Formats: sequence, structure tokens, C-alpha cells
Amino acid sequence: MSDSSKVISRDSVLKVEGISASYGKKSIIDNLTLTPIRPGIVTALVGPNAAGKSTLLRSIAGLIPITGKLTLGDSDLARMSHVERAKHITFMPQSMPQGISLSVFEVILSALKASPMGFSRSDEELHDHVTKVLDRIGIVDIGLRPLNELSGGQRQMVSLAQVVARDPHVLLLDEPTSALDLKHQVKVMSLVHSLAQEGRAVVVVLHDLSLASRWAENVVVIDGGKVVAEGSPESAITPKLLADVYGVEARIERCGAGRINVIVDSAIS
Amino acid sequence: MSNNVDQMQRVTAGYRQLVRKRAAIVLLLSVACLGAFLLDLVIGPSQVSAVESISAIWNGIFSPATLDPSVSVIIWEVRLPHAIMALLVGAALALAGAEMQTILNNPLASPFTLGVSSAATLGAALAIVLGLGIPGVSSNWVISANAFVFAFASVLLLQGMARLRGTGAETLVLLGIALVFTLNALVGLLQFVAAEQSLQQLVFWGMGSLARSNWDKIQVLSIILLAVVPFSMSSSWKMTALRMGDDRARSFGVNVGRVRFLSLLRVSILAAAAVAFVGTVGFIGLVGPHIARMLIGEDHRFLLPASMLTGALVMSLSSVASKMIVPGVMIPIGIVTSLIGVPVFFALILRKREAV
Repeated sequence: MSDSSKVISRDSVLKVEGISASYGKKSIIDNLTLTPIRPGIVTALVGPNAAGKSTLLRSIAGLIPITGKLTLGDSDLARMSHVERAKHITFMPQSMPQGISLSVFEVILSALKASPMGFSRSDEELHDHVTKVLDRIGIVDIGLRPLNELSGGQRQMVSLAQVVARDPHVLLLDEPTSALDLKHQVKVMSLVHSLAQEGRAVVVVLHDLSLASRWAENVVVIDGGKVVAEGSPESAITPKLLADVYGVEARIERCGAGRINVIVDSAIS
Repeated sequence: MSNNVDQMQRVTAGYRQLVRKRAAIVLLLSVACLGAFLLDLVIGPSQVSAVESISAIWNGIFSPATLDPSVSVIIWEVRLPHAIMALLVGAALALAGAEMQTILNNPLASPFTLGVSSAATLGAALAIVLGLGIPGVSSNWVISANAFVFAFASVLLLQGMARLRGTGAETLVLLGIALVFTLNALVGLLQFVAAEQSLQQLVFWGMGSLARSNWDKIQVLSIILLAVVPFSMSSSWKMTALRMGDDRARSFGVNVGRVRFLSLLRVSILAAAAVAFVGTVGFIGLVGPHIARMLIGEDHRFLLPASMLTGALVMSLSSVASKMIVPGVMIPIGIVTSLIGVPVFFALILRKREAV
């Protein structure tokens, strides 16, 4: 869909090598390296609170200063301008602020109009594009509603729609299901999965390990700013890891189709 | 599926209708401004009737020789400059307020609430009381120039504070309030030591009045507005995106730091120029954008012009009111706008409480 693939081809791999980030003097992530993130699959970023998941995601998005190396295909992300980078990578923050007098349609259109996207379209085409995205996310019915009047879950869907509308090669989603009910969790995760299958690299922060193991091909477990496990859900999420990282006594149950279920029995005191 | 297609078409059509509606509101506001402007022209303490006023303007343009000199002076040297200045100052202050509210992500931000007006007053006071001015500025302009420099400096100060790490929107408003008090105390000090005549001049300056309008000032303010507005408009989508948070806007490719810096630069110029020419005019920069936002939403392509028009309209109507409250007397317009503005300000604060 996008012409910006001149620089970044659809099979470009995202590499995170030895990056560190800190807030003031407090180091949040320290010399962190990930297995190259391939397009076509969903990578779930999991870990306890304050493990550095959001910080890692924001580092990749270029929102906080880091040291280390970030490359997409052959391009060094640190050398790209804001506009250039935004053509390839889009970040979805955890929450959509309240008290904004804009309709859902305008919110999504503003995501497209905020910067040039490497291809020019007429306003009519952009309007049609916005409507198609609304339909794909399943929120076309609230397209003209003011953002102010929506529930937290609906706002989260709108937030996802902004990212999808920009059609980036890399999607970074910070807890996209945190405000959603069960049905919408499944809808959003299956959408995320199909976005990846279309050839995008998707990194998504999740708290729900069962959701992570069901929808992600690759799981990265982070604790204290370091990677403690990485790989397929089956190999990364083990009872020992759950005890070490989360401090819980838990069982892993295998369901059909290779899916696993995490059942937590108690917190280890 | 066909049901979905229907719905999709409805949404696209609905959005386009929304855009047309917003354009229509902007047009209506322009018409209202024109109406208020005409009203402002025909009302005044001197007994010049509406017909006489209009014909004086007509003749003034097309056959100046036929004009009755006394009517000519009233219309061309008093009412017309006042009325035009009211529109320009209202538009400048409201545009400054609208940009400030978006850039600082704070609905209570405005040139008045964050101390820009107070800084201008201090600059003016230094010129009036102590005769301190910028070297090389002619005596006609020294008060305005001082006010401008101080107002500009206060915005730069706020901007510096806003850039400090961990300075949230609330902190900035508190800083603004602290600035207002500090500057007012300094003005008070100058008032205390001032001679009687300069004290009177200073008090009048602080009230904010259109009586200081003249064609030169109108020319300067018009040029400033014409120069600034295109830049404001060209960043309107970026500002709309910024309303949804810094991280989001940056991830959409907006260079947030740059947008914020350039916007505050525009705000400094607009607010400083407006305040320098007419003195303290409170609440226009706060109330104008809020009314516009209620009418038109936050698509900044429409919000910015609507704010300017609303500011101009409120200012123009305040000018009319300032001539009508006490027959035969023109009350300084700053008093009128504050009297109108304070209740609106309270309403906004209470509304915000409810929303949280």
C-alpha cells in the first residue's frame, strides 16, 4: 500500500542491539539485545510491573533517548528524521487522553495528516481510507461520535485505528487490550495477528500470558530491564520462570492446537 | 456486507457534512464580527447618528473634500481606529490563547492567566514612572516597546520552564500565577514611588483601553497578524495531533519540540503586541478559544480561525458595551472584558472539575 517501501522493504528485520535507557539517573533498561524481530509474526513483550516493557517499546519508537543500536533492514533508525521514522514505525501509547473535542473520524484523519507519509493522496482518498480502517477495526458505527463520549475500551479501539491507518512496517502496541472486554480482546488480538501476517513486524506489550501465548509466535520476557527468556510461548513461559520473575506458583496447561494456558495457584511470599 | 458499505458511506458523507458545518460556523462568526464592528462604529458618546457615521466613512473614502470636519474627526480618528483595533486585538489575543492551550495542554492557559499581561504592565510602568526605555526608541513608542519586550521575555521564561524536565502542565500554571503576583508586586512598588501624574497614567494603562488606538498601531498589529496567521494555520494538523499526547504525536512524525517552540514564539509576538498597544485586556485569550472549541471542536484548521473570530467578536461587543454602560462615558475596555470574563472563567473551572 505504501510507497515508502523504497527504503524499507516488506521483509526488513528490526534489530535491537545493546540498548540502554534511563530516566534521570535511574537505569530502566540496560544493554538489552533482542533476537531480530521478523516481520510476519507477533512478538509479545511480557514481564512484571516496572520491568521496562513500555520503556523498551518507547525506546524502539524513538520517544526517549537511548544508547545502543536500532536498525530496520539496512537503515540505522537513530539517523532518521522524525518524519522518516514515522513512515516505518508507529507507536500506540497505553491510553488515549480524555477531554478532546474531536470525532473518531477526525482523530484518525489527524494521525494521517500530522506528517507526510511518503505517498500523497487526495482528501477524498484519505477519507475513504479512514472509513476502511474504521470498518476493519469494527468501529465504523462510532465513526462520527465525539471521542469524549466513548468508553475506555472504545477509545482504545480508536487508538489502535490510528496506528493501523498509518500502515507502518513496524507496529509497537503498548497494552492494546488493557481496557477491553473478552470479546474485544479476542477481536483486537486476531486483528493484530492478521496485521502481522500481512508482512508487518508487530511488537505488543501484554499482561495476560494466556493471551500472549495464544496470539504471539514469539515471546520476550523482561524483568529488571533485562531479557530473561525469549522464544516460542511454550519454551519461554515455564513454571520456573513464573516463579522467578512473577513470584507466583503456577501451572502451565496445554490445550488443543499447541496452545498453553497459565493457571496461577498462589503468590510466593 | 452491503449493510457495512452503507454504513461506511454514511460515515464518510457524515464527516464531509461536519466539515461543511464547521466552515459555515466560521462564516457565521465572520458575519457576526462584521455586525459587531458596524455597531461599534455607530455608537459613541458624541452625537453622530448611524446614518451620519456610515456616510462619513463612505465619503471619507470616495470624496474626502465634502466631509464635515468635526464628524470626520470623530469617525476617522476615533471610532474607526477603535473599532478596528478591537477586532485586531481580540483576534490576536484569542489566537495566542488557543495556541497556548493546545501547546501547553492546559485549558486555563492564556496570555492573561500566565502573566504575559502583567509583564507588559511592568514594562510600561518602567517607562511611565522611571522613564526607562530601550535606547533609540522614539518617545511615542517607548511605552509600547517596553511592554512588548517584557511580555516577550515572560513567554520565553515560561517556555524555558516548560522545557525543564518533569515540569507538568499544572506546574506551568502555578509558575504563571507566581509570575502574575511577582510582577504585580513590582508594578505596585513602582506605583508607590510614582509621581501623581505618572501614577494616573499608569493606572489607566493597566486598565486596558482602546483609546490609545491610532492608525500606526493598527498598521503594525495588522502586519504582525498577517505574518503570523499563515504559520499557525500551516501547523494546524500537527497541533490537532498534539492534543492526543506528545508520544502519539511524535510517533506520527510530528517534531513536537519544534512545533511547541515555534508556536510559543508566535504566541509571544501576538500577545506582546496586543498588550503593548491597548494595555491589559483580560480573559479574551481565555474565553475566545473556549467558546470556539464548544462551537466547532478541536480540528485546528477550524478552531484557530474560529478562536480569532470569537475573540474579535467578544472584544468588539465589549467595546460597544464599554460605551453603553454609562451613557456619554467610555469605560476602559479591560474592565468590561474582565467583568464578562470572570464568570466564564469560573464556569470553565467548574465544568472541568465535573469532567475529571
